[in-house]
Amino acid sequence: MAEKERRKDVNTENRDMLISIIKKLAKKEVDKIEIPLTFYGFGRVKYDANKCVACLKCYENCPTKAYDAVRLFDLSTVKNADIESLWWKRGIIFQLIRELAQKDLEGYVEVPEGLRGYGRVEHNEELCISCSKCADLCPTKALTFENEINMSLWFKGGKEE
Amino acid sequence: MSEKEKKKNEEIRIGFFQCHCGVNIAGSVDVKEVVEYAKKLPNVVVAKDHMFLCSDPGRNLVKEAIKKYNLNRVVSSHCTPSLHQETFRTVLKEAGLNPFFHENVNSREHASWVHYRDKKKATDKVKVLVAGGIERVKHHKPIGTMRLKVKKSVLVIGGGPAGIQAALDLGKAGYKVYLVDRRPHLGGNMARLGKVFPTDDCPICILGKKFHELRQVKEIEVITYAEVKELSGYVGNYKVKIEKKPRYVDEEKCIGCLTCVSKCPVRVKSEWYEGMDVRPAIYINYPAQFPRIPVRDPEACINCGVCKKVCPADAIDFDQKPETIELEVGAIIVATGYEEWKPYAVEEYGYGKYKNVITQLELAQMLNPEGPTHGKPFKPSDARYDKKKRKLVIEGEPPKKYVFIHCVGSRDEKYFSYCSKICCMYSIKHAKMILMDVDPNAEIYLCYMDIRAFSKGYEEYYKQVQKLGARIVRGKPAEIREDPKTKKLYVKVEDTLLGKPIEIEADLVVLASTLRPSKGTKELADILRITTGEDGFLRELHPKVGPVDTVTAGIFIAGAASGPKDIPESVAQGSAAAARAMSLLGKGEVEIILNKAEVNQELCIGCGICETLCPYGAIKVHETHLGRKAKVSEVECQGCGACAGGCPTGAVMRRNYELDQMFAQIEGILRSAKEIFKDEPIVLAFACKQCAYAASEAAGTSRLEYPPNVFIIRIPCSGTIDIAHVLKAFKEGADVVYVGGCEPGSCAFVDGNLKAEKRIQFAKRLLDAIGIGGDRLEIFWIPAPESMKFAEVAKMMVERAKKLGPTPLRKAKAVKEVI
Repeated sequence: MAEKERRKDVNTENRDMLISIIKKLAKKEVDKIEIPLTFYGFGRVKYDANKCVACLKCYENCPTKAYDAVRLFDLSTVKNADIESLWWKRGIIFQLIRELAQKDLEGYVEVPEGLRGYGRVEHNEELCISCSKCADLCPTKALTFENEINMSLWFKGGKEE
Repeated sequence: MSEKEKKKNEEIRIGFFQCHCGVNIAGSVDVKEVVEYAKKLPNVVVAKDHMFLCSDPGRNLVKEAIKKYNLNRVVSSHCTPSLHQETFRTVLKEAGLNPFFHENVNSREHASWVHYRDKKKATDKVKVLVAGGIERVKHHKPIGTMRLKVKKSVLVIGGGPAGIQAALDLGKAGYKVYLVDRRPHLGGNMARLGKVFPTDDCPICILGKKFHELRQVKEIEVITYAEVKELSGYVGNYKVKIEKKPRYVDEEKCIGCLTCVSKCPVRVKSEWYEGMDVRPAIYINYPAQFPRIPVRDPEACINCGVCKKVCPADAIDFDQKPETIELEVGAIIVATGYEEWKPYAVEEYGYGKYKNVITQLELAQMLNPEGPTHGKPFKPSDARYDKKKRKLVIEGEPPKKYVFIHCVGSRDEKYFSYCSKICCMYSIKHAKMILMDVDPNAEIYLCYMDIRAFSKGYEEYYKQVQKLGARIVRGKPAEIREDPKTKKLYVKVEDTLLGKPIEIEADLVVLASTLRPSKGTKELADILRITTGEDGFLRELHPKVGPVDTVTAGIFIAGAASGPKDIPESVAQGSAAAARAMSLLGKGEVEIILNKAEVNQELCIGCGICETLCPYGAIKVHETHLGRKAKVSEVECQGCGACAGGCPTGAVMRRNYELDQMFAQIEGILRSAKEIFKDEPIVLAFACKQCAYAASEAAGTSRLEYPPNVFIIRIPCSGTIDIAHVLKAFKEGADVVYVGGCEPGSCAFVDGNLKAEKRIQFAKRLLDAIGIGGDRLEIFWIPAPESMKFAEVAKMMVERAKKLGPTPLRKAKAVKEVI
């Protein structure tokens, strides 16, 4: 509900129209199309939860509010992380969690509202207008922008006319 | 340990100094044993003890040792850091070392005073704390200072006796002063009274003289009918936005003839006289008011335009708009005073229901020679507004029998637990005024719990009123009942001295109601980034040694804004705050110690979490040639460390509370505790120095005992706490960890405590999820004065540690050692 409320001012009418026109014009269903570099408006965002530090920059700055903040910290990220490659303090914390753990690091820990640094985001591709702002803002490169269009999303469900 | 680290460690030369504090420490701690213990710790070059380390010979001992042994780190173990940390930092400075190469171990408040029955345990605890201090100091880094130019101007908010005094002292000393009042005039509550104790002189005469002085001092600019809306900047260089409400009278043109006031056809209830009298739509509150410029109430005004026509100076302007004034000042003095609580909630006294039950401030208006009846008390049930005469008419006999009830709302757990301090005296004053000036035969009963007449001349004043015939009844009335026909009141009270219930008939019952901070105090405090206490009044930095200072440098408080005060005290505080502002601004520059946040550019990823955590906007992410990086404005940073605690990469650090320093202290304490306290429970506490740590000091002063297994680490704000600190503590063998912060709403750094609460909440869930157990970690609100609560929490957490047993980690290690 809260997410709905947050998105009530988001208007993607024009884009929806464009997509429906492309769909009508399409002679066959295509899966992926590569697009030129720095050609914004099309393309897709890839998210790597292991790199994410839940700073919520993407969540706050997305013009179509395509992100949901998920207030769950996945313990398996601690288990799977390569400590050496983590940022200094994060590495220390993850190492401490591993050393303290009395059981297998699995499951989720609920993150209190307003606490940043733990948790992840969820990207709703059907709301995305591929502006690449999130990937630009993402401080840990957890979000990357790929120059290809996931056409399958348009054809299989996703946005209906 | 890498080769490089080893080399670095070898270079560290620590001196340890233990103070006896006479018998305060040496009486219950084996000082020699502590010194011997410290000597054996790595990198300790010299360890000595002294009878009084803070005395000249004591300080010289440290200074000489630094030179003789070529020390580069000093750990001194004595009283709490808030007393003598500064002393020893100065010693280091004098000996040519950076003052921050010092660490203070609290062996008095945290050991000798609270574990005085068990010398062995007290000594053990000091050893543990010393081990923590010595480990920590190895990681200390030099911290510099910076000089800032300051503006020689001061904003004084509130034009009551305290504010006026502060403005006069500053103005006469040559500082530019802006004296701002929310009301259309100065004088504060004082101007509403008929007489003021203990000398019974007329407040208007006193104020009149002060107003005259204000006019004489050209450095003072009085801005009335205005409120502070915004503050930016920092100590010595504040920028304040003030909104001046439209008065609809041109202050430059008005000559104060008051013709408009006398010709206005409208009458509405006067707020100034508590609704007892009426005023025109264009009005002044009292004849001697300063500035003597009327104000128009646009809501009451019928826009007939008579005032405009009669004004000889053409000063009336219905089109005036609110005006924003921007000021640049070096310091701010807040003297916003008090207001009386209207005791509707105390239903048994029927205030608001029975017309003839009034408050003392309302009686003060009746007794005011400038008031609605020119100093004659009346029964409100007899008062009527005469439309023809357009004034208040009293029909019926003046009251003969009065009952005064003290402590209405105050000293009452149901409403406000504090004492309003001046109500005893003004109740006595009103009794005296009635008996001397109005009716010597009046029957006045004062029903009190305790009479508090404590200042110079007050006891004599109280005796006088007894001699005049006021009857003093010790007892708190249970109920007031009204005869609906005669409007007479019957007060039921148990006279605790006679031990029997009595019923007193009264014409007028007067309630000495609680004094509350004036309206808008909390909002103003938020704007100024200063704090309020549980009682809602502004909080002083230290009740004894910082009574007019606040947590924000350059902002001072004076008068009843920090708690009910009488006029002599308010005036004294006004002068005190002025002196504090002068000592800050006098040299034209201030030195700021940079024990604040710092960003490691290599680690910073520009995520902006720190930005969201800083209550002062002092840390911001900027575009740099290296990408987005956070940057600290060192003058705006207040050093709470909330940013550091939330930084995901460890790039942001609070200097002197850096992660390696905290880890070293945690390690040092716990390693030593495991060795000395063996299989006893070990509890580690992180205490905010504003509240929980201050409460621990108070527990020491009051000799409140709690188990010696609690080791306290001092942090600048509970918001400094990092999940890493907590995890590290468990890793190093703590059984139970807790954080002590300020009550919500009273954090010295706005809401660091709530940030800490979230981190602890998360860490608790995390500990549950990984099988350590979330109930091994807690956060408590322990306000500075609540030493009892501090001791209770400490006891409780040790009990919990006993109940839960050692952590699986400690247990596993213990088994390993046995094998």
